[in-house]
Amino acid sequence: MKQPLRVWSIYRKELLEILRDRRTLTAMVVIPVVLYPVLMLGFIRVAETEQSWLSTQRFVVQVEDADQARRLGEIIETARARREEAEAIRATFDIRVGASLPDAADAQVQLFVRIAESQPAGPSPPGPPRLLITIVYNEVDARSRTAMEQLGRLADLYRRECTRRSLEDLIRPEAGPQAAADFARVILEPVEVRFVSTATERQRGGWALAQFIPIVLVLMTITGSVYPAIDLTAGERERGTLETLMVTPVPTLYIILGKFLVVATVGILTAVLNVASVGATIHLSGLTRTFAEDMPIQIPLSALPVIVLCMIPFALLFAAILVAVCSFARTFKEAQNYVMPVILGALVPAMVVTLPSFRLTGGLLVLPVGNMVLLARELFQQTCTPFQVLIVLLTTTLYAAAALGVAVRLFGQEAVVFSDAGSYRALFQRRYFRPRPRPTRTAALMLAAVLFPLSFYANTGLHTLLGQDLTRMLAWLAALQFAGLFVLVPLAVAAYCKLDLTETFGLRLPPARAWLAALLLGASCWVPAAQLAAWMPANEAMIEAGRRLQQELAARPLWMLVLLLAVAPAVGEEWLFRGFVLSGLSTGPGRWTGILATAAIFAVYHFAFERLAVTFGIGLVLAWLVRQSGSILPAVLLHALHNGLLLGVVTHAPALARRLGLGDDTTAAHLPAHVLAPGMACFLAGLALLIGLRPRRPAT
Amino acid sequence: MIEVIDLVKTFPTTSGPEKRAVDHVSFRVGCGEIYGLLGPNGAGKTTTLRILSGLLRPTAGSARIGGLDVVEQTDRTKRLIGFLTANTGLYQRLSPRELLPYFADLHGLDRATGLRRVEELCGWLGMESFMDIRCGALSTGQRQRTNIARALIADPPVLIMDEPTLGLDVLTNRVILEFIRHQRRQGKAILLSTHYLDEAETLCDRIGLLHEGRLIAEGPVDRLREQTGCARLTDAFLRLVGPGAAPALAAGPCGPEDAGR
Repeated sequence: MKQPLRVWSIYRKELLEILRDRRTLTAMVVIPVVLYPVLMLGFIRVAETEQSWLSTQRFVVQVEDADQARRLGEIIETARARREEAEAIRATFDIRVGASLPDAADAQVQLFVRIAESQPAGPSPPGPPRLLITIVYNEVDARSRTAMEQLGRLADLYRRECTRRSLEDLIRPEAGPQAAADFARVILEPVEVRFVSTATERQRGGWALAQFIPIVLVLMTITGSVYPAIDLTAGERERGTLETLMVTPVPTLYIILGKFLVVATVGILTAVLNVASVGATIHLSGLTRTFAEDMPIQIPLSALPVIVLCMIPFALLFAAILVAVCSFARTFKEAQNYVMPVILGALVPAMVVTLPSFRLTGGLLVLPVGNMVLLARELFQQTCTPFQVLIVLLTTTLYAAAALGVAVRLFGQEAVVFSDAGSYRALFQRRYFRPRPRPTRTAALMLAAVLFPLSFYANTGLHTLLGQDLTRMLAWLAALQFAGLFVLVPLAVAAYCKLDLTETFGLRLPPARAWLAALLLGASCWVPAAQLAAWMPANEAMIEAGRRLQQELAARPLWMLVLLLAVAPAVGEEWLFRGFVLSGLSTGPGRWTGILATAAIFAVYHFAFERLAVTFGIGLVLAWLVRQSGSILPAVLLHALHNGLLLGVVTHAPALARRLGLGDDTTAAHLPAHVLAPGMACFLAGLALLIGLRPRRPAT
Repeated sequence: MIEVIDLVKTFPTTSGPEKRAVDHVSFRVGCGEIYGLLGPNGAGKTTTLRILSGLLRPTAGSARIGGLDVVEQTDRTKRLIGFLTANTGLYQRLSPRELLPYFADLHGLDRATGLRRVEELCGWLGMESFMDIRCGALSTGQRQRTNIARALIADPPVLIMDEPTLGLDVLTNRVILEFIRHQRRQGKAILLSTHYLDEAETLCDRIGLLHEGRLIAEGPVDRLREQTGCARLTDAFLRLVGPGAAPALAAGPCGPEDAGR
C-alpha cells in the first residue's frame, strides 16, 4: 500500500473505533438529536402554556369599599367596549372588598386597586373628574404581575375611551355626532407611522440565523471534537496502544493526519446533526412564530451549503488545535485540563465578535476563530466579498496547518510518548536540541503562522499611525516588518533551534548562470505579471488607491524608494520565505510541495486579493530559482530588480511607462505586442537557464 | 542482523543531572539466533529495545538493523522489525479480525497478502475461536496471542520482544515459547528481554546481562555459568547483579554453597 494511502487506513480504523464508543455517540447523536429538541420544545411549550394559562386566569382584585368596586367594574366594562383592542386581554377579574394587598406570595388576592378623584390645581375644567388609579401588585409573583399587566392594559383602554368620549362631547354640539366622531379620531391619532422593511424573507431568515448559528457552530464543533481528540491522542497513550502504532513504518505526519481528519469528521457530523436538529425543531414545531412574531424566521434550503461551508474550516481548525494540545498530554485527565483553556480561548473571540457592531474588516480578518464566526455571519446575510472569504479561509488553513505541525512535533516526542523518558524540558530547552541543517516543516509553518497576523497588524497599525507621512511610514515598515519580523525573528529562531544558517537561509554563492537567470527574470518578470494582472478582475478602488500612491511616490527621491520598496522587501521576504520557510517545507517528500506551499504563503502575506495570482506566480519563480541555485542571493537580486524597475519607471519616468503599457491610463489593460514579445522572450530565456541548472537535493 | 555499537541514552530530569539509562552498550544478534537481554528493573533493557525499534533516539553510539541505521533510516528499519512488549495495548473496540488487517495495511502489505497472512497466523497461534470478539473482551493469553500475530503480520526478519510471556498462564506460555523457537528455525533474529531466568536458560542462544545501563556480561548460557562458576543462571545472575556484586566477571566463581542452592 502506498504511503499516503495509509492515512486513509488510519482514518477508517480510527473512525470505526470512535463510532463504536458510547461516549462519542452520546455527544454526537443522542444530545443533538434527542435531547435538544426535547429540551427546547419542552421549555418553550411550558413557557407558552404557563403564559397563556396565566393570561386566561381569573384574578382576584381587592378594593377598599363597595363604591370603588363599582367604579372598577365600570372601568373594565368600558374598556371591554373597545372590542378590537380588548380582545387580546383575556383575563377576568373578580372584585372583592378588603383592606389591602396581602404580603404572602401564595395569597388568593393578586391585586389591590385604589381609585381616587384627583383634583387639579386651579379652576376645574368642564367634564368628568380626573381619576388616579393605583394598582398595587407583587413584582416577584408571576400571577400578580400578569394580573397587573392585564388590568393595566384595560385601564389604558379606559383612559383612551374617556379621552375620545370627552372630545366628542366637546365637538358634537357644533358638528353633529358623525363628524364629531371623525374629528375626534383625527385629533387623537393625527399621525400614523408604518414601517416597511426592504429585507426579503430570505434575508430576514439569514439575519435571524446569523445571530445564533455561528456561535452554535463553535460550541457544537467543540462539543463534538473534544472527546475524540483526547481519546485518539492522550487516550491512545494511556491505553498503551500508542507504542504499537509508533513502531509501524508510518511517518508521524500520516498518523496525525489520520487522527486529525477523524476528529474533524466527528466535529462536522456533530455540528451538522446539531444544526439540523435545531433547524428541524424550530421549523417543524412552529417555534418561529413564538420567537419572533414580526420577524418570521425562514430557513431556506439554499442556506444549508453555506452552513456546511462555514462548518468545515471551523471543524478543521478546532480539530488541529485540539489534536495539537492533546498530543502534549500523557493521560486523559491531563488532556482534559489542557482542553479547558483552549475552549475558553476560542469562545472569547467567538462571543465578542457576535456583537452587531463588529464587521469582517481590518484586523478581524485575521483573528483566529473570530474571523470564522464573522464570516459565517456575513455569509448568512449575503454581505461578504470573495476577498473576505479567501483571506479567512487561507488564514484559517495556515493556522490549522501550523497547529497540525505542532501536533506532529509533540506526538512523536519520547518525553510525551513514554512517561519514564524524562521531562518535557527536552522539547523546549536549547541545550537538548540537536543541531539540524534546516528547520522542520512544523517550525516553518509555525513561524509563518505567527508572523502572519503580526505582519498584518504592523502594516495596518503603521498605516493608521503614520498614514499622513508616507516617508516615515515606509521607513518604519522597512525597519519593523522587513528587518524585524522577516529577518531578525527567523534568525533568532534558527539560532535558538541550532539550525545551520547557511543551509537554512541558502547563504552560499550561486553559479554564474543563476545570477544571469536572475538578471533576465528580474528585468522581465513584470511582463507576465502585468499580463496576468490584466486577466484578473479589476478593482476600481484599488486602481484609484494605486494611482494616488504613485503620485505621492513620484514626489520622493528615487534612491529612497528603491531602498525602502525594492531592496528592503527583497532582502526581508527572501530571507523569510525562500530562506526559512522554503528550506523547512522542502524537508518532506515531493519536490514541488515545498515550492507551491511557499508561493501560496507568500501570496497570502500580501493581503491583496486582486494580486493573489500574480504574487503566487512570482513566488513560484523565486522559489524555483532558489531551489535550482541553492542560494537566496539570486532571488534577492530578482526581487529587488523587479520591484525597483517597476517603481522607478512608473513613478519617475511616466513617458516610458506609457510606452511600455504601464501608464495611468492603461492600468490593468493588456500589454502592447512590441513589449509583450521581447519581454516574454527574456523571461523564458531566464527560465531556460534555470532548467539547465542541476537542482540541489536537500541534505538529509 | 542486529548490531548495537557503543549505545548511550540519557534522559533529562526535572532536577539534577541527566539520567543515564544505557551506558556504552554493544552487542550483535545474528539470523536464526535468540539473544536474551537480562537484568534487574531499571537496568536499561526496555530503553535499548525502544531505541532499536525507533521509538527513542540514542544520545550517542549507533544501532543498525539489517545494515540500516535506526536513526537515519527509521522508516526502513521499522519495516524489518516485529515489536512486542508485555504492556502493549490492543484497540479495545476492534476484533482481531479487524485489527490484524489494519496493521497489515500500515506495514504496506496489499489487501490479499494481508488477509492471507492473518489466516496463517490465526492458524499457527490457535486464534480461530476469538477472531471476532472485540479485544476488550479477550483474556490475557488471547490478547498476547493477538499481539504476537500483530507483531508478525508483515513477517519481519527481526523480532524484538520485551518480556513476551509476562503474566501468562502455563499453557499460553508454552504456545508462545514454541512459536518463538519456530521463528528462530525460520532464520529470524530474535532479541528478547525477560525476567524469567529459567525461560532464558532454555530459550536463548546467547545472553547479555545489563546492570545500571552497562552490559556487564555476555555470551552463551553455558559460558556464563562457567565464568561465574554457578550451576544455574539464576545464581550467576545474582552473583553479578545482586547486593554486593563485584563488577563484571571480576567476581570469583560461585562457592560450593552457591552451587548447591
